[in-house]
Amino acid sequence: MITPEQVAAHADRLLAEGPNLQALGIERRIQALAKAAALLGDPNTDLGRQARADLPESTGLSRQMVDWALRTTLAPITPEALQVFLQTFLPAESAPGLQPVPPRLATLILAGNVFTAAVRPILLAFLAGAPVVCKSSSRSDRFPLLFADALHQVDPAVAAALAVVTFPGGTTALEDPLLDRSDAVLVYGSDATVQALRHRLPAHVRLLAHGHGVGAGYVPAAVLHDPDLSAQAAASLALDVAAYDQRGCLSPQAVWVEGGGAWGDGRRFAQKVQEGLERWQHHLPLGPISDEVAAAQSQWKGVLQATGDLFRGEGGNVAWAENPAVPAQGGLPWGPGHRNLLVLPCDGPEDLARHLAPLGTHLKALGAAGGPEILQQVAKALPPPLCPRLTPLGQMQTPPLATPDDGAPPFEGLLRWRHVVA
Amino acid sequence: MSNDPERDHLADRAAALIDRLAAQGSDATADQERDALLLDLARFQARRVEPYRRLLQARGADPETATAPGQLPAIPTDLFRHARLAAHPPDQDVRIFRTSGTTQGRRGAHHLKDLTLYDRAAQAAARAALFPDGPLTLIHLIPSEMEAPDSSLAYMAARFQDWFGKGPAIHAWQDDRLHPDRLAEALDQATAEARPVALLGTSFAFVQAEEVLRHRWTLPPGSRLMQTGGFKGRTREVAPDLLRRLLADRYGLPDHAILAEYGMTELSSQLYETTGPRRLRPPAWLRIEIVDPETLEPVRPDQPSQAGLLRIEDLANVDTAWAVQTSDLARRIPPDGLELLGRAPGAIPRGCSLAVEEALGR
Repeated sequence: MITPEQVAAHADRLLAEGPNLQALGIERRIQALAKAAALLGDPNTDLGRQARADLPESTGLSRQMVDWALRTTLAPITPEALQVFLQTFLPAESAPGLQPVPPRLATLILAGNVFTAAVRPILLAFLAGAPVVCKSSSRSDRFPLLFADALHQVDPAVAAALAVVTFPGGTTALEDPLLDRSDAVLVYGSDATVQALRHRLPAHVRLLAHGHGVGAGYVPAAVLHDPDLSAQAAASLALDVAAYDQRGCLSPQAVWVEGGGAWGDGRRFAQKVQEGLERWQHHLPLGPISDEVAAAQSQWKGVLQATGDLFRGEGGNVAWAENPAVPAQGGLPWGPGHRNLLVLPCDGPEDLARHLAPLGTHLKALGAAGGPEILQQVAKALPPPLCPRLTPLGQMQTPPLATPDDGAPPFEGLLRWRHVVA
Repeated sequence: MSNDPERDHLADRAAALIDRLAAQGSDATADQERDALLLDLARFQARRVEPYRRLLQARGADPETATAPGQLPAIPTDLFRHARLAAHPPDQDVRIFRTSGTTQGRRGAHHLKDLTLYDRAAQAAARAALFPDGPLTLIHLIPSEMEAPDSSLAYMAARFQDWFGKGPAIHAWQDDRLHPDRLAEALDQATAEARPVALLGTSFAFVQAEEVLRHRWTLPPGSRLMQTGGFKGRTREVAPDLLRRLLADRYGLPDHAILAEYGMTELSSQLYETTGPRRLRPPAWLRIEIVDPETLEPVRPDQPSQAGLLRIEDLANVDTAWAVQTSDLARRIPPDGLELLGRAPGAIPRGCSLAVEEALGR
């Protein structure tokens, strides 16, 4: 296993690379990132093929899901898109006297559940001009290593500012050399992981935390009671559920349907979503599930069969809990992910907001059917501090670059600003 | 006797069979009787316990036509958190045992109409496993019944005191913490008087004791130790073999005198370890299946040691759930034992996603 001295050496080398990375200029960095993304995203390159061969085993996702994830995450990363992104969030002409100052070193601590989550923080750090050390567990280091390879192939000078180190999470002797040398730490993980790190960081180090997350969905009555619109909504939602096997912090775990009890429309909707999952099973098969997940899934299915209606299949399971007062005796029976979705009735956006409020900032994504007006209604009803990303159904798992992170603008916390008052 | 002759007849049959099995052990005939009664319990509960009826319907299972208990679904333990599982109305509850939990409303509840079957099963199993030589001084590292009135473990320990305790109860766990001075004093006294004792405690209580006690004892012959439950995040986790060695060393007990107990709020009966080889041995009035985690079908008969989820059918659960599906991984140890395997290995990392209940329960 890697030693603390080796970790420190990586960090020291990257600290030295910082000025070089900045000296290369933003255009060079943009080109390198876009080319690396293209190399990895393309199934016909050697690296693209290697990624598709290696990642199913390390991620537990099917080969087809890995391919989908790579393409949908990496294809939008073009030089043009990065330029627009920068111009929007880091314009050359900032407010007078404000100068962005990147961290000397950014440490990125990754979770293992959604492998493409590494892309965005690496992009942000490089665009900001900060070298990055990416710390993964052995189960989650394959993708960052592949990305580092891709970057090295397209531009070794830029790639020199990225290192990937692998060791089990919580190994403080190995984490400390990174934390001591970093100006910013970006952590993806459980709330407990985030909290543990928070206590250990020196006061000047900024923590950009992405803890526990969950997604949810909403279908208004006008969609629910229209057979065509509800079929479309169900199909779109099925993709949101199927993506990443519902293991990501943007994955919808429950969807509320307005007035769903009337005329059995909520139950029918649940059935349609399950049928959608069966269709996706052909294109994006569910990865293997562990005994632990299978046990949790069996429990969840039994609870919903005894208290609601459950639609089951190889592609996933969708439960209609018409009378949430019954399961709600014990709190809502949240599923174990892996394509197990709960559908519940509600009375509209305000009632939806009441159901979502306990999730607080853990609610990362909210997908809604019915168009922009519905999204605005729902947004208006959400109480602080809820700041999910609100999107149409079908787009929950493909956030664009230009999206806030946990309610904050993309570079917030990563960059400091020097104010020169002339 | 309640006003429910059908229920009372089933309870009487269960009581008689538990007594007979406790006295004589099982054989093919007794197993057949047990299984027939389990089926009758399933039929009774299908009529009286609405969530169970719905579960049967959803799975396309009909207890009236089933010919073996394994053909019918078991109630998942999680359902105890989300529904009332009882064949009697709430005003006939004499006791409600609740699972441990951090948030009100999220704890599973086992609603008991009477405790006689619970007592019968608990007494019979404990007599055989822990108290074959008669009463002992009991040292409790378990909350008292007064302190934890909805804990089935506290209830059981209090009954042990009634049935098997010699002298007053010694509580070394109170106010949610260990009192090491009381424990040490009790052990000193027992040792000085050459009086065998039985230590009854949770695994995490024993681990906490390990962290604060410095003295070692050599308890008198005939002494026993029963440890139960997991660590629940309250202490570091210690592997079973290591914990047993630590306990043997601390209390001067032979390995065979340290036994694990497996029970759950959702059951009325308990399983105890036995040695030679060490294994959990269910009492004869329980029927055990090891099932595939995904299909819930019994693991292959030609691979009896294959791991799967533990399913327990309990004759003493007349009024509630005759069959319980747990999330515990286990495997058989032929001819009559089980080994618990804890959490399944290789679970997909959860990272920042999901664990909604954890997020809400913080």
